[in-house]
Amino acid sequence: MLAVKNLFKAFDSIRAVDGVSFSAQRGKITIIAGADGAGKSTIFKIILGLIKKDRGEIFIDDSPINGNFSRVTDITGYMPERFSLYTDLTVEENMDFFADIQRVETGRKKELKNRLLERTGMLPFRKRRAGALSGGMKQKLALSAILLSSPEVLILDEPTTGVDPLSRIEFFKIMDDLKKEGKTIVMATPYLDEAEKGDFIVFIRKGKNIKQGGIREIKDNFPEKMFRILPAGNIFETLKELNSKKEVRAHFYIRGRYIKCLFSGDSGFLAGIKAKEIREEKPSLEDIYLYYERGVRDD
Amino acid sequence: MRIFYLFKKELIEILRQREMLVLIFIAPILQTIVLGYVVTTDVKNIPVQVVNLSESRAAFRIVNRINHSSLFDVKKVSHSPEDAVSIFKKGTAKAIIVLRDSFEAGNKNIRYPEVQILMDGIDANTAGIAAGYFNGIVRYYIMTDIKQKGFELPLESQTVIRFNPDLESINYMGPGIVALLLTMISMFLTSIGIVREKEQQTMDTLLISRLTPIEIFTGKALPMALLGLIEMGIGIAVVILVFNIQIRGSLLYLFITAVIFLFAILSYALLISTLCNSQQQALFFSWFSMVTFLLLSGLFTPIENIPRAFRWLADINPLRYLIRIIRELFLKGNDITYFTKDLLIMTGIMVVLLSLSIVNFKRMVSR
Repeated sequence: MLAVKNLFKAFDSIRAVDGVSFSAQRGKITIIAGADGAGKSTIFKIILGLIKKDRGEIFIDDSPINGNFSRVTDITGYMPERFSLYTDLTVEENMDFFADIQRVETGRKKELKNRLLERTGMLPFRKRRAGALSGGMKQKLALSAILLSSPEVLILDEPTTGVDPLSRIEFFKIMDDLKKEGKTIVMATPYLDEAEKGDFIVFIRKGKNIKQGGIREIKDNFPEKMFRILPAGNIFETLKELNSKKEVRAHFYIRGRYIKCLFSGDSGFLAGIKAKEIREEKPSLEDIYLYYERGVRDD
Repeated sequence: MRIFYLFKKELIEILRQREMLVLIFIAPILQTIVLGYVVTTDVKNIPVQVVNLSESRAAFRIVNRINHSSLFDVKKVSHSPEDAVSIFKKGTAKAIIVLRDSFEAGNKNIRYPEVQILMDGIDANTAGIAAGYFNGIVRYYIMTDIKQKGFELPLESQTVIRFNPDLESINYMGPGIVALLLTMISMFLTSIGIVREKEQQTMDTLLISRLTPIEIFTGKALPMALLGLIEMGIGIAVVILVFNIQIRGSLLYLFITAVIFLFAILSYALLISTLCNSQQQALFFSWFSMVTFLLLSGLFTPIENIPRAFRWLADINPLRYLIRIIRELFLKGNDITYFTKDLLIMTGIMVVLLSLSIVNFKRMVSR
């Protein structure tokens, strides 16, 4: 549905987007994951024509747009990081305004507006000012507003940042419904636990793809084993001890009370470690991301 | 049509804020009244001290005239020398008038005391005007005295002041303040318009909605122009009702002038808005511009006083032309033919500013 190939964008000497390519399929959620400043928002803005690209091409249904960004914007709903709402306008006024500028037919407007607000649970708050809404409510209102134009593609830039856990769950429920309706969803997030809810993932580091593919495939084909170690003594001393084993090509990092250890080969080197518990487990997307992000192995 | 939706949204956003309502509709009334009474170039009640060392009748009469003039507030009349510097340092008087008998007078029939006026020069403007007043009183006394003694005066001048015969500063400051209000509100509100959209990331949404830069630009400028005209209406009503200054010229010409001026100043404000990255920056820039426009407008000091090297700054200042035209309309009742040139220059400035801001805005949002 939507694809980008070899996107490049530099701001002076900084390469914000450095040869990014990916494709987002209809009825699937594609996650763009990366740390703050990795270039996620810039990629979205390039796709929407809000920032001029240096090189690369954007494709809609396998055909290049050749600079005609209206081909993208005509079918896309975009939710920027800060929800893009008018805080002095009420929920309803925001919806009316976005419906009007997106040329929603007058006869359809009221019904559509109410349906979308009901779907996102915002109908009881329609007279409330957007500025007085919680983060989760703002997110739902912004989502309702972009759905007014019935877009085929949704580009969501960190939609759950600053949103409470309950609202996040509700949000992903709606995402799931939209996916079932056949929408193409491209979503940036710094939260890898959320990324698990996607179908495809593109890991971005300093503007570059460092890994991409189906989430299940990436997890299933992850080449390393992962052990979780609960140290018996001081966690930092145990980490130091693990790092001192130079003959072992492994990657260690602290996660809460545990040390996580990613490596390939024999696990015999863990035998001498003083630990309350050493357990092998399947790496999460976060573990995999950290593994690639820290440059242990680039694709 | 989509401009109308933007127009409506802008108005709701502004009018929804109570503080803004007060600022837009109450502040101009208060400002016009306060500025009208306070910002005056009339020099009255100047605190003076008289040191009368003369025993002549003439000195007595001059002191008497000064005493009875509303221009001066005589703090003390002494008959022995005083330390002028000490008086000025204490600030008890801004002027000291010393009268003493003249022994050098050549004409023995008409003898006047010597009059020396010592002024505190900290406020140069007041000092200059007050010195003029004193000299006027003395000159008038001498002229009257000479006439009474039957002498013919070789030359007599007569001053006739038209349009503002009493030289009341409110008569020309009032209309000027209306121009000031028109500038203030329009400039400040507009300069934060686009930058606010950038800050809350709604600009991206507007652009993706395929609103053209011209539509966004117009949708932003029109509500401000409307508010500006309402502001001006309030200001004019206050000037007419509170200060009893009647507009002698055509209201239609005033409206045309205000619209041209508004588009010039709104274009400038939108240019600021596109150049700045935050509302604070935009407000600071507006404030700086506002003060510059004001100082170079001729509202407080004549344009002719500005050194030639800097006069061009006043020449490209649209507020200068607005103030001049408003004053002409209020006080002289001039027809459009009298200020066509000013109107054309202002239109030229408006076209340049509008083009600059549209080009810059297009550049900002170009894909």
